[in-house]
Amino acid sequence: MTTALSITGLKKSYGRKVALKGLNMKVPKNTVYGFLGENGAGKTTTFSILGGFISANAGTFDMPGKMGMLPQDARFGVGRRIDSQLKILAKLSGVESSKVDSEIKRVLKAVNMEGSAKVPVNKCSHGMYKRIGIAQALLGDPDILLFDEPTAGLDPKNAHDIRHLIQTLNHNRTVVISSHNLAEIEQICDHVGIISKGEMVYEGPVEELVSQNTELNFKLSEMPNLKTIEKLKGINKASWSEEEKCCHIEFNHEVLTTEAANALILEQLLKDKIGVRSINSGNSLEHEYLKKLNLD
Amino acid sequence: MLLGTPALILMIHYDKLAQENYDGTFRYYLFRTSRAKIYWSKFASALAEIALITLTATLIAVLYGHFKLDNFDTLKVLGYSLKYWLAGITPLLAFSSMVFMFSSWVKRPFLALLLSAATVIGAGVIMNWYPWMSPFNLDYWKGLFVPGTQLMLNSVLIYLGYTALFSTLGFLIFKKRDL
Amino acid sequence: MKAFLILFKDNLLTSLKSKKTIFFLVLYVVIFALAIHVVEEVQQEAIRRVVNQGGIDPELYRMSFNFMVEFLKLNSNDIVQSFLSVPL
Repeated sequence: MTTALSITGLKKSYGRKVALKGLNMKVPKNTVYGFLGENGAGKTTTFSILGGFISANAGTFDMPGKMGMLPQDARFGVGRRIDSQLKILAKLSGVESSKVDSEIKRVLKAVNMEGSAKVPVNKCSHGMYKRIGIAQALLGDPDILLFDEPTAGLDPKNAHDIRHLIQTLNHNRTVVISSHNLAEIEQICDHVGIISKGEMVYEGPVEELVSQNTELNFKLSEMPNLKTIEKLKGINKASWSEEEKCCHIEFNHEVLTTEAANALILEQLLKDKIGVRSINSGNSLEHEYLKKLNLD
Repeated sequence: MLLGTPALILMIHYDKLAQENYDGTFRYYLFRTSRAKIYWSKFASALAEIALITLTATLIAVLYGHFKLDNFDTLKVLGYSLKYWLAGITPLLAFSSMVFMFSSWVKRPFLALLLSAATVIGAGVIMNWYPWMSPFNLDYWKGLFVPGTQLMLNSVLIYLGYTALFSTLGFLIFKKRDL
Repeated sequence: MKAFLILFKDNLLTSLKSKKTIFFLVLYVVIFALAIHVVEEVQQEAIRRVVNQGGIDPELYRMSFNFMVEFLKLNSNDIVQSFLSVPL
């Protein structure tokens, strides 16, 4: 596996508070990597070290390609126009003077802001600001993009557009996204790293994580006989939520595949003449994430 | 003039680093270039700005004299003015470096202004006991207005010394701090 | 070096275009003009005293420049008075 970013034993403390306890991380090349963790787990600290905003106390990282970044809590120069701000950043990204204007057009087009080049940055809405943030990260066509909370604080429409945009960026390029939004990560990432209290607790393909899923949720017309279900081979536990009219089932993945568990329970429910409204396989990434953090 | 010049410098420079640090603007630059380039380019442009402001003001003053004063030998006065300007900007560089140091130290621009102002006042107070330590030492200032003398050379060197000291300290702080 | 020059140029142009800088430039010019105005008074007196020299004596100009420096500490009347006390 070729890695676009490799972090080894990264440590950082702020006074007595330890933010990173020796973080190890490997981001495969040309993947969209979701960097997950609770508030204060060390995600932004990691990004800040990679961006050179702060220095690590120990550890190393190797990022062979050119980097673009959307930092958190960063504002552009007050009173500057979008194109003027992007111009200086493009030059610093190594774009040749003769190609700066076309590069600015390219990145603004990528974020659907072609007509806004002359707008002063302080007149931009929160959504526009995020887009410009992403646009500046794309300057100079970097090999790896680091996005720190790209959809934080955005309304659903803007967040959707940004997600869609990120999905289009993954051509011959690695994208690392830190986010609290697990549905978002599940939707756009193919790899995931879960950080807790400054340490990596899981790293691997999203599919692999989700396939370890051992739960099913059945929305039913009425409460089934839970004891009968629990007696079925491979079923560990069944519980009922009256409020949601939902039967939550945990099964043993070594005994049953998800499909087999589904069929087994459906058969029992039909036998008991209980109407089935919907079935879904647990809480997928969210559930696995909470399990990895021991919060479930 | 003694207080006016540092006050001008304070007002122009106090937020040069602190504001961008406070806003996080540096983060867009830091992954593209080094801290040294960011700091020294800011510093050099700030000095150039002060030099340009005072040069413009000097030239306007000479023009004013040309049209307003009788028997005004404009060329001769221009020559003198430029010499005075060259010598006269050295204390401005020293004060700029001091403000830069505070601006790189604290994150809140207003705090940088307060600290710089306090230091200027402190330097004024120090002058009563240790005149050689204070940039307000009148001997240093007077020397600047006696072109071609050892006195002027000493004054210029002293202010360049202050500039080197403050700007280096400012850079070391900027290099180490979290941004 | 290239990045340094890019940043230097950008910083300088941004600063020079800022309202704050323009305000202080105007303020500085006003202070200079005021000081020159005082010099004007001083020079009138100097010219009256050195009638035969034709033009402004550099040494006198130097002195009047020093008075300009003193200007903000004293009022213009003090400057004229102190100039008049300079032995010629």
